[in-house]
Amino acid sequence: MESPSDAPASAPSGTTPGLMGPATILPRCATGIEGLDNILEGGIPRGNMVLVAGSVGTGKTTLSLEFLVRGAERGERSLFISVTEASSKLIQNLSTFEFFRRDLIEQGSLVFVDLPVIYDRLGLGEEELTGEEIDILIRTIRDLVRSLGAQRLVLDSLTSVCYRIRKDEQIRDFMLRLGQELNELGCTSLLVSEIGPNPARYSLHGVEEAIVDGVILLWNTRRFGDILRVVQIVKMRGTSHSRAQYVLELTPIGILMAPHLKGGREGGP
Amino acid sequence: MTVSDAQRIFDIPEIDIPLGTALPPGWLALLSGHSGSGAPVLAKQFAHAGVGQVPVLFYTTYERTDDVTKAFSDLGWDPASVTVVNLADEYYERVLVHGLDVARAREVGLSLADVTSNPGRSRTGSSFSLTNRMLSDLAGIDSPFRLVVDSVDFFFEVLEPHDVTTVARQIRHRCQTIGGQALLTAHSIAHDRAVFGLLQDLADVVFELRAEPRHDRYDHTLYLEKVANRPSLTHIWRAVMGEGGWYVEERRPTPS
Repeated sequence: MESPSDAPASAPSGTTPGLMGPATILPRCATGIEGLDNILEGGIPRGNMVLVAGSVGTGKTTLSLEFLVRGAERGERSLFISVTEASSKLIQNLSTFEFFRRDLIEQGSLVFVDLPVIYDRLGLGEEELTGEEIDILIRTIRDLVRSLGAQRLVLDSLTSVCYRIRKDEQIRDFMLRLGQELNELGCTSLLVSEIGPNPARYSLHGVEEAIVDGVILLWNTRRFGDILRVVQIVKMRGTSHSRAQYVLELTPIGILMAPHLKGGREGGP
Repeated sequence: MTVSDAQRIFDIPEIDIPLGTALPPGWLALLSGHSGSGAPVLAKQFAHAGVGQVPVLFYTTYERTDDVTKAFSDLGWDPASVTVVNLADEYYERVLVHGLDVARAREVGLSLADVTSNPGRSRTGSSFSLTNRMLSDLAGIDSPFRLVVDSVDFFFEVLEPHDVTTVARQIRHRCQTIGGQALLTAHSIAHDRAVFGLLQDLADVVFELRAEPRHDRYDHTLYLEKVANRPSLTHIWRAVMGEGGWYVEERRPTPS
């Protein structure tokens, strides 16, 4: 059954005119965050793998969690793989948001898994993963997504995984294969990338952002003494999107976005 | 001088009297003996000799606990007076079984139930430290004790070489601090020689029990190879297994 988000948001005919002729609008995976979906022509192209990059406190995890909760509400099974924080603590933090529904977890629509548990079960205890272990990790994530029938996945964070994959070519291979497996399963994924406040790139190694289908960048900026969260879509394959900056607010009812007025800006990404 | 005047080491007067008066209250001994030499029985005899004097801990790393207690009983020694700790069983349960689980998970994959069930119920090897397990017991003892580790071969198998010597140093320090007496056995000859040499250096007393074929039987010889600061006490005896354990005799001159 086609979920409501599969329908093109702004092109009832399924196509939009362009210089090269009518372009097909890919089925969308609505994030459920209104401002973001408006920018993304209804959502992230289904099956895309997207980097959510930002420094500490910019709202990466909250954005990712809302993406999953909104998906689960739509009947799309959603999987959160936590690397650095115990999922029990995440759920505890999530429960402060009004949009969070614990029943989604109880009915199995929203599933949390701790990657350290997977590491332990698979005996991936060494600091650096071997090629074979990377292969096992990809297969395990694929199998979990497949067995759950997950249409949405969040890996928080990709950075923590990549700390254990040292070679650029292995990261490239990991990203390519994971993206391919998830795409074949129709699973849209957000990979959280932890970066510094003034980054030269959007990921730990710089390889990751070249492989993913999209990059959502978040950062903090100061204005009149306040610290604002700002979001910008840097890249989204299959989408004609704005690259404007938006102020992002984490409210009890979820993430709200508003155009970022530049006056008085004191800092940037 | 009688055995009762000295520390009872093995309940073998020929050894206990000279050594028991020469050694300080706390010391570490190393007993090596290849497979079939009878060193495990001598280790149990050391444990039994401490009963009634101090608390006795017997760490086995390769025998079943029942086999250890039966060996004590068979020799007429009360196993109830000795606390037997089976490190091998604990290691198997907490590390090796986990290894089997890991192999299976890698081969057939993980289900959601495998990774979302209560992690507290999972068998994990990550939190088990063999050295901590043993040394935490030692740290809990604050009065003289007797300790046997039979054998350190297991430590060589599962620990890094420097960790083996660290364990030995900790045991020795504990012995010296509160007057403990510890015996480490080694049955294999395949150890890192440098590390094994360090263990010999650390030990205050070094024994070796050897079995050598003589026609239709084996003759056993007990070597007292080292006594710290008392080299004159080193000796070689003929060792004989009796109904109540090992005893020693002076060696007869070999017929020319």
